[in-house]
Parts: sequence; C-alpha cells; structure tokens
Amino acid sequence: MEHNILLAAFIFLAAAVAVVPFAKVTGLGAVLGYLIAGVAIGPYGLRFVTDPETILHFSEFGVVMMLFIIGLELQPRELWRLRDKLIGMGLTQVVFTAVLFGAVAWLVGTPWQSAIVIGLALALSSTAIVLQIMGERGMMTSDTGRSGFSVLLLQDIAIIPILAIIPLLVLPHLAPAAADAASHAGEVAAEPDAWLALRIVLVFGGMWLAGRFLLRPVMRFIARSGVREIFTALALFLVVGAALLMEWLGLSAALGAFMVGMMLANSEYRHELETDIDPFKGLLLGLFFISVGMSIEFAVLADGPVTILVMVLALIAIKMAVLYVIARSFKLDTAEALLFAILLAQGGEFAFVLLQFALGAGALEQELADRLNVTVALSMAITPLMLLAFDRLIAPRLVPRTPEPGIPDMGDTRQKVLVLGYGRFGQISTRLLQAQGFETTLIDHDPGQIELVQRFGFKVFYGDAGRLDLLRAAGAGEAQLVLVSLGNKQKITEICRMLKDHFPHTPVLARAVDRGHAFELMEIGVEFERESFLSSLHMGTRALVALGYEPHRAARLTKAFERHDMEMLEESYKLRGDEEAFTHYIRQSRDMLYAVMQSDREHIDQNPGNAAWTTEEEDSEAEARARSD
Amino acid sequence: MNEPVLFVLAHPDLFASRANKRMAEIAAATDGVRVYDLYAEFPDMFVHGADARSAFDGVEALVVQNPLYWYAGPGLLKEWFDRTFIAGWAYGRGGKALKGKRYLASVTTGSAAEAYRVGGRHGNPVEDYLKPYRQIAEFCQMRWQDPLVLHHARSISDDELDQHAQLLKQRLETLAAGSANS
Ligand SMILES: Cc1cc2nc3c(=O)[nH]c(=O)nc-3n(C[C@H](O)[C@H](O)[C@H](O)COP(=O)(O)O)c2cc1C
Repeated sequence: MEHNILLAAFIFLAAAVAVVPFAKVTGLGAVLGYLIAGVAIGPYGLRFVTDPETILHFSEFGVVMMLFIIGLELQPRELWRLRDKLIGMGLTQVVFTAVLFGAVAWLVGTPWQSAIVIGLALALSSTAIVLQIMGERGMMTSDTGRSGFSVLLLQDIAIIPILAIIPLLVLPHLAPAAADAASHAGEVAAEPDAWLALRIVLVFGGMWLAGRFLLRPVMRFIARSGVREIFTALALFLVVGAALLMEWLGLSAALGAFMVGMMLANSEYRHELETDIDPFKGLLLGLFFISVGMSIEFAVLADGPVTILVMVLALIAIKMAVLYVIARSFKLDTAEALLFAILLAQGGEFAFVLLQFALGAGALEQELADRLNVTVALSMAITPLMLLAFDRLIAPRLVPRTPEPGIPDMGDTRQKVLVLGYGRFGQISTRLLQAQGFETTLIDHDPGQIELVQRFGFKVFYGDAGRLDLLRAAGAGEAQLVLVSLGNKQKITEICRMLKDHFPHTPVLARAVDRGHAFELMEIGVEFERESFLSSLHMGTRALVALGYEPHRAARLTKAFERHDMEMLEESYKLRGDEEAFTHYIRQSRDMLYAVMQSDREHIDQNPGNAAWTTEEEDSEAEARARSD
Repeated sequence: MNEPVLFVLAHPDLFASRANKRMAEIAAATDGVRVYDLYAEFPDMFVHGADARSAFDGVEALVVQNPLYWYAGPGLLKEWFDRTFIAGWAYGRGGKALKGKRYLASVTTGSAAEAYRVGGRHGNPVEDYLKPYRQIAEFCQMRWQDPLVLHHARSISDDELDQHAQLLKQRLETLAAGSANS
C-alpha cells in the first residue's frame, strides 16, 4: 500500500485533518493529536500503514527543518550568550542522566557495553516534541524556554561523539554479526581519524565562506527574478544540502541545518526563508509524530506490560529528577523547574536512531532494543499528557515567583517597530524613529531598493509583506507599532485588514495614497497619514510667501486650511454610503471651505483685539462721563 | 459628568517634568476637574482660537498650572491667551464669557523661596511676576484666587512634593464644590 504515494499521502492527511484539530480544541495539543492519529492508522489500529519505519526515517527531515528555522532565528551572538546554559545545563544533564541510566541498566544485569549505549540513548530528549510544544505555548523567549532549548541543542551536539563511541561497545558474542552489519550501518563515524577531522574543517569552512560571499548574491539574483517558488526551492535546497553534507561527515543532519540557519540569521532574506520553509517543516513534523504513533509496538507492550510500564516510569522519573535539580540550581522557581523537567523528560527520536545503530554495531540485543523503542515512544506520547496534568492540577497551586526587581529580560524589552515598505515614503519616518533609538525591522520586496539602502548601512529584509506568515515571523504580534508604508494602495489596504484581524492589539499607522484610499483605511479602523498631503500644503505655504505673504501669516493660514480639510474628510466619510448626499457634499465642500477660510482669515489677519484695545479707553471714558452726568 | 474646573497645564517637556506632571496627575484624579494640556492640544503651537474657546463650555473656574520660565509662563501659555481671550468674548463689548469665574494660578519655580525677595537673587517677590496674570483675570472680570506657589520644585523631597499636591487637590475640590453651589 505504501508504494502508492498518493494513497499514503491521502491516509496521512486524512488522519491529521480528522484528529489534530479535535485534539487541539479539547486541549490535548497538536502533538498528542498527531500521535493518536498515528496509532489509529498504524499496524495496531486500522492497519492502513504497516511499515512505519521508512516513513519515520523520511519524516525525520521535519526535525532538520525545524532546527534550520531555529538557526535562522538565533544569531551567533545570542548563541554565545547561551553558553553558560549550554554547558551548565545541557552537558550536566546528558552526563548525569546517562550515568544514572547506565548504572540502573547494569544493575539489572545488562552487559556494561549495552548499559552505556542505553544510558546515552535515553539521555536525549525529543527535540521535535519539545520545540513544537514550546512553540505552541509561546515559550521560546522565556527563561524556561531558553533553558530547554540549550539542553536540546547540546544533546544534538552530543550525538556526534556518541555515534563515535558506539562501535567500540560491541558485545563479545555479537562481534561476528557486527562485523557483518558494519558494512551496512557503518557509514557513520566508524573512522574517527585525521581525514574525518579535515573533512569537518573543510566543510564548515566552506559553508561559512559560501554563506558569507556566495549565498547573498545568489539570493538577491533569485529574488530579483521575481519567481517566488524558486526562492522556496532555494530554501529547501539549502536545508537538504546541509543535511547531505552532514551525513557525509557522519554528523547529525539537524545540527548541520542548524548551523546553516545560523549563518543566514544575519541575512536580509531571513524572514522570507523562514516563511518558505515553515509549511514544509510543519507538515513533516506532523508526519513524524504520526509515524512515532504508528511505530509503538503494542505487541512488545502486550508481551510484558509490567516491564514496559516500569521502564517508562523509570525513564521519566529519573530524567525529571535530574532536570529538576539542574533547573533549580539555575535559579528557576519551583513551577518553572517542574515545567522544564516535564518538558524534557521523554526519550527522543535520536534514541531510535542510536538504538538502531547500536543494534547494527552489535552493541545491543534485539529484544532489549525492541523494548527500549516502545518505552521511548510511549514516553513521547506521555509528555503532552503530563503537561496537561501540570496545567490543570499543579500549576494553579504553585504561586508564581514575584519577579525580582532589577533583572529585566534583556531579550525582549526593547521597543520594536515593524516597517513594511522601505521606499521613499517609509524611509523618512523610519529614520526619525531610528534616530530616537527605536529598534526597527524593515521589510521590502524590491531587491533593488534593498540593495540601494544597504549601501547606506540600513538592514532591510526581503519579503512580501502581504503574507500573514511573514508578518508573524517578522514579529507583528509583538511589535510596539507597525508602519505600513508601501506604495501600492490595494496592498496597503489588504495588509491593514490582515493586521487588524490577526494582531488586533498592535497599533498600526498606514500610508494613505489618496482620499479614496483614506476612506478605505478609515473603514478598517487604522490610523493613517495622507501621502504628499503635507508636502503639498507646504508648497502652498511657500507659494503664499512667494506671493508676498509674511511667512508666519502664511503658515497660520495653512494650518487653518489643514484643519478644515481634515474635518471635511471626516464629514464626507460619514456620508460615503449615501451616494447622493456624498456627491452633493463634495460639490459643496469647495465653497464651504472657502467660506470657512474666509472667516478664519479675518480672525487671523485682523485680530479683533487691536480695535478693542484702542477704542476700549474711549468706551470707559464715555461710561465715566455718562455716570458723572 | 460635568467638569466645572478647567485645569490648563502649560509645560513643554512634560516627560521630563517632576512637579507639574505630579500636579496634573492629581488634578486628573480629582472629580469635577478637566485637565487641558496646552502642549498636547496644540503640539505645533498653532492655537486655534475657536477650538480653544470651546473648552470653556460649562466651566466655572480656571486653574493655570505652569513652571516659571524667565519670570513668566512658558511661551505657549502666552500664545493661548493671545488667541483665546479675544475681544467680544473675554473683554470689551459683549465680552462676558469669563465674567465671575474664579482664576487660580498654580506655579512652580526652580529657586528656593529666599531668592524671591527684594535684594534676593531674583530681585522681587514671586507675586510680582504673577501680576500680569492677575491683571488678565481682573480685566476679564474673573475672581483672582490666592495663588499656589511651589518653590524649589526640583530639589524638595518627595514628601514635600506630596504635601503640595495634596494642598492643590484641596484647592481644586473647593473650586469644584464652590462652582456647584454658585
Ligand atoms: C527656560 C527655563 C526658564 C526658567 N526660568 C526660571 C525662573 O525664571 N525662575 C525660577 O525660579 N526657575 C526657572 N526655571 C526653573 C523651572 O521653573 C523649574 O525647573 C520648574 O518649575 C520645575 O518644574 P517641573 O519639574 O514640572 O519641570 C526655568 C527653567 C527653564 C527650563
């Protein structure tokens, strides 16, 4: 059945569409939804799909893409800021957890070689599940989120040495088989020699150089061609290429994608790349979760349910204990530490890979590997359930720590302004804001324009501001203000409507191209500024001066005019539904304006005070005379 | 809710203000008082007279709050008087709009009280510098109230600032209550 790709795709999509929204709405979360869908269509459910392994392997690529996107969002500078957590939390976690699991395995009679494999494999958590959940909960920028991310990242790095160690742990009685299997499984890290080191240096050096000097012009060229899907193709090409290179080196593909992402984190095409990859990532990850659900071997579970249950509980309990202690020692409060521990307490997808690899290398017995696989899969399925329990039962009881004064969260306190359209119009207002120290994110879709302003040292991202996903990636939800300053009327209106619908709390200031456009924006309910209105008025002022008016008088008359024009705009807006009244009003407005201006001019030109002050004395003299008479 | 007290605030750099900002806050929190921030109403210092006059609808008492800048109020305050208090409205024939309303000047100064006396740093008592305002009020047939002066506005303690704010609040309440009765 799996040979028919369309049918397989149909089944997966149907399962996802049927189960996931339901799981999400009922509060179970998308991850659990996918897992359930997987069980449902898998060998122990409706048996639509009987060979989950291949799909699991394929869909692991979702994890690679996820790490690429995370890399895009993480500048090397920020990674450096995380170094304490990477080492302190990440490394400690891997080492301690591995030692504990290894010890337990050894104590229950597993050979020491297998015990080490088990310890290392189970120390890893599921990047896919944890990051997905953290994203769903918007935790990525919180302290807990950053800690979790650091641990995951270090685990990913740890895979490199772990893969190198496993071939040294061959069980004596499996040695011949292992030698046999080495030709199949041994493509990875079996040759930790100088040549490998050289290759690693070459590849990373080459990637760095390419990222710096080659990619930019290529991306610019493609963006300029205007063929949108080629950009998507390029994004995919980058990720796949990085993954292949890593595989050749025997390193984790996810890690490679992460590095490539990070190299591009500074590029002006970052947001566009992110939005292009995102849908693929989402679908593949979903597929991945589904295949995890499918690959739960219920037969193994049925054979020894108690053993498996004990293993799952031990896995989660030991991991949680280690994680909790680490979190506390890194000053997370009880609730945060508990959340952190629950989040990372499952076995990960790399455990499958490592166990498979160890099996091939002859470091593990088949039966034990089967059990461990089920244990890991179940622990992954349990994570969302435990989080649910945490949210409903535990979190409400734990009083949140009152934030200590004087320790602001450096990541997100700066005030950000998102500027859509950095052309002639957007530039001027933006520079005013930048001069005030506001941090701006600039987006434009014209590569020529981007290149031009880049020469003056401005950082502009390439992208189509009309895409909701791009707006989201650029931070429209968190921005202090969004300036919509593109040149295209229709696009402006469209974007404003989108912003109002999806980010109702973000204030918007839009460029109105003309009067009719201003009406459209008023209807949507965003603030606007009429383009060229002020400069045109200013020209009027100068014309008056050129015609002999004193500058201040001209300026005051202009001000009065501006005021009336604004009032008229609002008046005519109210009448816009009534065709007849509207045209009537517009026809009248010229005369009206003239009349009002006339009275204003009288006020401005002949302040009635002058007359009053000169005649006033005579008045009171007359009064006095009248009284004395 | 009717707001018989118009609290005209004239401070060009409110973000950096200590005393006047505080006074405006306490005024905003007082029943019957409407805070009218001149520099916010007329950010480019173009005072539209008719608009400015319409702020007096239903007003029974006027409070003018400002720092002392060069022995007078900040520039926009003067522009506001020039464009708002016009003949035929505030004074002159038919000019009765302000008649009988009370006028309270509330000012802050940078220097200590000792500086404001004959022979002191500023040469004259602070009341001397309020004389033009007093005369404006009287010329428009308003009732001049005993002014409220906060000296040393940037140097006094928080407690002293609080005390003065309370004093202002009392005066505002009296004005609001008096307006309700009359
Ligand atoms: C342009 C300018 C002129 C000033 N002139 C005087 C002055 O003549 N006499 C005085 O005592 N303080 C003067 N000061 C000080 C201010 O009156 C004082 O800083 C202010 O009342 C403090 O109130 P605030 O915290 O609300 O700004 C002047 C300040 C400025 C900026």
